[in-house]
Amino acid sequence: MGPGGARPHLGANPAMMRALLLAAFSLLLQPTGAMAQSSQFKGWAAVSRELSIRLAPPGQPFDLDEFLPSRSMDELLGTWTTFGTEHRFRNGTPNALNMTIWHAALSGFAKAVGQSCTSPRLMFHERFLTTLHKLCTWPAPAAKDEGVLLAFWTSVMGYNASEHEYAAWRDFFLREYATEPATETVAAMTFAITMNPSFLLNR
Amino acid sequence: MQTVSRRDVIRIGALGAGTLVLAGTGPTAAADPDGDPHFFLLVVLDGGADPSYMFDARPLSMTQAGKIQNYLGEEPGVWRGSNGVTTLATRLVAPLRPFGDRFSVLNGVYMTPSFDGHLQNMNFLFSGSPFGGDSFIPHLNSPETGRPPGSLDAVLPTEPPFLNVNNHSSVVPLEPNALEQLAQRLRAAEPPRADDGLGRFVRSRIAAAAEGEGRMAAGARRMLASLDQAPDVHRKLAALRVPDGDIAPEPRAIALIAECFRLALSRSAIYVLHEQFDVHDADQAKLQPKLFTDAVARIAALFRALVETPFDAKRSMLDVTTVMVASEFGRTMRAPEMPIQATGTNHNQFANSILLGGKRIRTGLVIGASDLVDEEDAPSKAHLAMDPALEKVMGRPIDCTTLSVRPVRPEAFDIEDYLTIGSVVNTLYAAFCVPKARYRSNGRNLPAAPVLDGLLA
Repeated sequence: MGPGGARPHLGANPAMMRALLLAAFSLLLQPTGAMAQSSQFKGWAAVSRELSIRLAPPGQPFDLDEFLPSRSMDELLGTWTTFGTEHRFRNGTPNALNMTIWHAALSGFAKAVGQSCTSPRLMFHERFLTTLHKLCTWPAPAAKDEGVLLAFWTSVMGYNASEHEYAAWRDFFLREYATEPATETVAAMTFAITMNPSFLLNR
Repeated sequence: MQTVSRRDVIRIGALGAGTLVLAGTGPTAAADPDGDPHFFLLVVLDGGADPSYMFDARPLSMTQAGKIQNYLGEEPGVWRGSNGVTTLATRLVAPLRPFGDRFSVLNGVYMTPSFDGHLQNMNFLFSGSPFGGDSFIPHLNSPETGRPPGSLDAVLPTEPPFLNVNNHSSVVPLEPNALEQLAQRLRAAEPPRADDGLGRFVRSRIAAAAEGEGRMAAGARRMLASLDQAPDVHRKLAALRVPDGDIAPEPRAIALIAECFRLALSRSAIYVLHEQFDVHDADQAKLQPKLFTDAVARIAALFRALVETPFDAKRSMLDVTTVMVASEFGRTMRAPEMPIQATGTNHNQFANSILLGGKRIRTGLVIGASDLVDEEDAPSKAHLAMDPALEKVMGRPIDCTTLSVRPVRPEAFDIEDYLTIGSVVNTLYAAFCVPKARYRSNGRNLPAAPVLDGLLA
């Protein structure tokens, strides 16, 4: 941005300037629909970082780009851009396209976590691996232990969701996946957590 | 700058024809069952392009008098509209001559009266507010228009313009190279499902978060609506055929946009030229002849591709698309305290130039004008009130009913005297049958900005 960048036009007389500034200030105060606040997606970089911190061995972050359906698609999931002194978050508002991409990418990630029950696809840190091994005995009763389920939920979700959200997730899988195989169940559990607004949206 | 070869044209035609036989996605049926498809293409000149290098030029005598820079160093010629109105145009617009009956020239268009920043004026163009908000693009895709909406409001086959217009709606970048792989991967993947237990559970948790007030609930509501549309978008993207990479960029973009329109994937497209017109520095300003040569060639290539790309068996893309070429504002005549032969230019929101053409637009016209037409021309008092240093040309008062410039010199500034971006957008609204409740006004407590009825076909 050059010398004539974002500034009120200075050619107007002082009375006009006062009126313009007042009008501009009034506009800022207006709670119009156009300015309504809405959470946006955290973006692929933030989600990758969070999952790496929670699940990957220290210093060995996941390379989750392999799960994106196409190169450059990370930008469509929410990204920071800079122009001059402006630093803005772009493409974070949920739309049909980024939802499609999130769905495809997180399905792939969840499938990889589920497949890790039989053949490791991702490198996990020790504590999560212990929880995963227990969960991978599903549908055995030991996998349905409250401590195991809560540890898995917390590992993936972090502390972003309410206890009520955890209970809804736990009850759904205990009821609907009671006899399903571990690979499918763990993948579905992971997918259900990562598609939750508490996981994907910035507060 | 690549040109369109005959081979390109044949390939694009074949691509269009290929789409006609895609199973279950017949283009006309998919795009608009009422048989009157209507789409929108916005071509953006990013950074504030100087209209004096295109359709609002000034005589060389004005440069010799030290009033306005002119690095082309040539006398402009006359561009005559079919309505008898003339404007001065540089030879740089010559590539657009073959399409001169396909668009109308609007000069002296007022952007925001009170700010001269890029962001504020680009916001103003899209949303009618310098602070941003909902873009007009989604309104063209609204069910209120009586047309079935496209899945997305707009696609951007190029880098997005300098603002987050795509944060306000389903206006999304779709870069052709990335899209090819996306379409392939989505063909192999299952669309989001709502008819199985897991899909229902995921949806139910988003729905639970969407209840109530606050940012999180609002975001979850958007997630929910987007998730409901995602299977449709998934299927359409999977069906998308991305044009070959060896076609020139402009016809390739139009071929891709045509695919998106045929599949009802989007109502609009935004194409941003990669030339940067923000020439504050003298060295940058001196490059304008080259910048405009390249940009005009691209605009001409886009028009040619619109004419030559079939939308369906009967209609070209230009037959079904309203086209607008615009920048966020024009530029000052020169910068203060720089010699006229080595000056850059700053921002001028008082006189922009816009090209409008295609479906529902009466073309070949010249509408509006800016003042200070030569070194002798004196400004009105209204001009002096807004621009005491006389750095900028300013739109001249216009009669929006007859589309003629009014021979008056207002004593005081009144926005309703001028041709405004609000009127341009409202004219687009009228062309797309957007309800009048959406129309922009030119300011608080003012009625809707007048529609330029004479510009509508």
